[in-house]
Amino acid sequence: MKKNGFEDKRLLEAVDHIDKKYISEALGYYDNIEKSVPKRRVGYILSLAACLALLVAAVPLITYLIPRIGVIFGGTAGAGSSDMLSENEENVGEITYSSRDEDMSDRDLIEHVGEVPKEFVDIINKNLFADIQISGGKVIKYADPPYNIEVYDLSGKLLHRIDVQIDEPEFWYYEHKVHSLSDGTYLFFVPYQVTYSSQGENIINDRVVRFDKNGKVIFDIDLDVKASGFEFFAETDDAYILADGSYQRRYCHFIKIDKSGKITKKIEMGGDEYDRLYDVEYVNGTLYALMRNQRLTHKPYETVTVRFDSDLNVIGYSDEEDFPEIKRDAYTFGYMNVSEFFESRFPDKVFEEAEGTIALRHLATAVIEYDDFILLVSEHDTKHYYPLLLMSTPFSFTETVYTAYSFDGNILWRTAVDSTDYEYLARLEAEKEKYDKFAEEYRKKQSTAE
Amino acid sequence: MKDEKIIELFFARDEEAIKETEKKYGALCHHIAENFLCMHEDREECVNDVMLELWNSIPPARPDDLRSYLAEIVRCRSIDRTRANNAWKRGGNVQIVGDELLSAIPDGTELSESYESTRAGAIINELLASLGKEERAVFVMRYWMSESIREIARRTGSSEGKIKMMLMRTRKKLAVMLGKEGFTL
Repeated sequence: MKKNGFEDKRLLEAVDHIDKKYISEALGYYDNIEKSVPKRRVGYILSLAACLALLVAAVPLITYLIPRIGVIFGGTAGAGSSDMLSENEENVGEITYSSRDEDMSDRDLIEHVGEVPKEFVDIINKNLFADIQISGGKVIKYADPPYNIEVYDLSGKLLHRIDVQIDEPEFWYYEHKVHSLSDGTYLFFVPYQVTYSSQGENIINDRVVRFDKNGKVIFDIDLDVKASGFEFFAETDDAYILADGSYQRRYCHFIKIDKSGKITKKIEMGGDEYDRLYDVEYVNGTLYALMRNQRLTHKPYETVTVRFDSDLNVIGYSDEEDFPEIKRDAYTFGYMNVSEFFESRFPDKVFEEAEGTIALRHLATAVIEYDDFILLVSEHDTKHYYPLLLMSTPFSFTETVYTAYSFDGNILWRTAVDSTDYEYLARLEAEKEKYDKFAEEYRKKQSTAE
Repeated sequence: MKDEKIIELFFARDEEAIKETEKKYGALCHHIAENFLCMHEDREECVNDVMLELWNSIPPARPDDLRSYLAEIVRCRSIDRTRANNAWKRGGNVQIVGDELLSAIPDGTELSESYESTRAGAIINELLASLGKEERAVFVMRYWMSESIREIARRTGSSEGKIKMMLMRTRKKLAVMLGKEGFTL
């Protein structure tokens, strides 16, 4: 491509790497800029604080209860909140954990829902578990190099303290991740790094290290990709599926490795827009990947759930018949610029409200198939509002909707929880056991009622 | 109010933090956004978004330099919004600045697929380290903030001619450094 002006975004990205100290130095020439602010702008600016106050007041530390089944979900509105997000008042110990997201918002996100004793709640409240990860029913906390990884069970009991002996770069762009495996070993993800020297550029690709509880390295492989640490992970009977696609990255990467560390399949999806992977789930031989683009428009983000078989072949999309462009784009170059956000797998039936009034638009986030029904988690905008007259960006009240469908697309049951923090719910790790519990408790309720 | 105090307010989840940030740096935010975004409404919304993002990011972030931290977010969000609106306006300031910087690349050079922005960024930083304080600031104002020549001249107390000359010399140095590195854009 010939140089063609600043439309080539790569050059803009080069300027992005200007050292912060030089930026700070240049900004010193703007010390007196305050005086030039028009009064009207000050009015806008001050009103933002009021807007934030409203927003924060409307979304405090929230505990959401789904009354009919007694399962609790929670989320925080702001950043830096406690690691414990919510607690079931009727059943002390039913808590959710969180860890910080690595994107710009740094919001807390739900990572796990489970029962733990009160003692562990106290430990968490003392903030001993900042930056924890929950994986495979274990609480994992790791420190910076030399990587003393501590593994606890959900009662707070220390299971292992592991010193992982690996060569580690001095600087990395993304966080490390640790995933607990079903056989008691661990996968440790090391994101890529780039260094420069007089000899030129040195790139160390993303790596994954498998080690046992004693820290013995089982394999240490170069993934031959520059990703952001492979936050998402699924384990099949004979392989591990690694998935990556973080904030402001154009491509989502999916890599399948066998349990000896051999890469057996590698694909990437993405395109001109920044695409982000929100979650992966492996259920009954199907890998579900929830993706959203990151266009900064005032429209809702565009979301698609891609289904893969266990060999990472794409087998379907959220609604490929009604939105064939999803299929075409994703198959060819993974271009996820979906023109409309999809409503459901069964758009002709599922979002007709039971009352038969109007069809509501939902943004599906997770689709879980059971033997007797399909559970779909979705978001529904209940109301748009403008916090202040001078603000032109609308905010939304939303509810998170859990709906069960028969395989021919009819609603079996639906429950909703008022929620302004849909995004956190979207990140719930869709462990099958959790959804099983959700479904089973509903079945019991129904049986009792009958 | 000092930056440290403002950051403490953010950590205390006190909305005064936003007021104080706006009071101290609101004008700078608008100014940076103005360099990238043509529409007044876009700029207003962008700065609003930035303040919300700041509220959500501090804590846990504790920036050493709140002004630079804020400026980077404003610039990033302005560029994102420009991209989203497909608004690289022909003849607009951003394109003029970009074309100017590209002139540091020798004629006939092809933009290769193996281009690495981080590598080019490292070379630019090396260049900046070799410059005097004023030259360095002028380069950053022009190419990082997409500032106009007139405004740079006003801020540095120099003539527009001097700024243009300074930038031209800096670009030539950059071209030499890129060439030495065998850099093919």
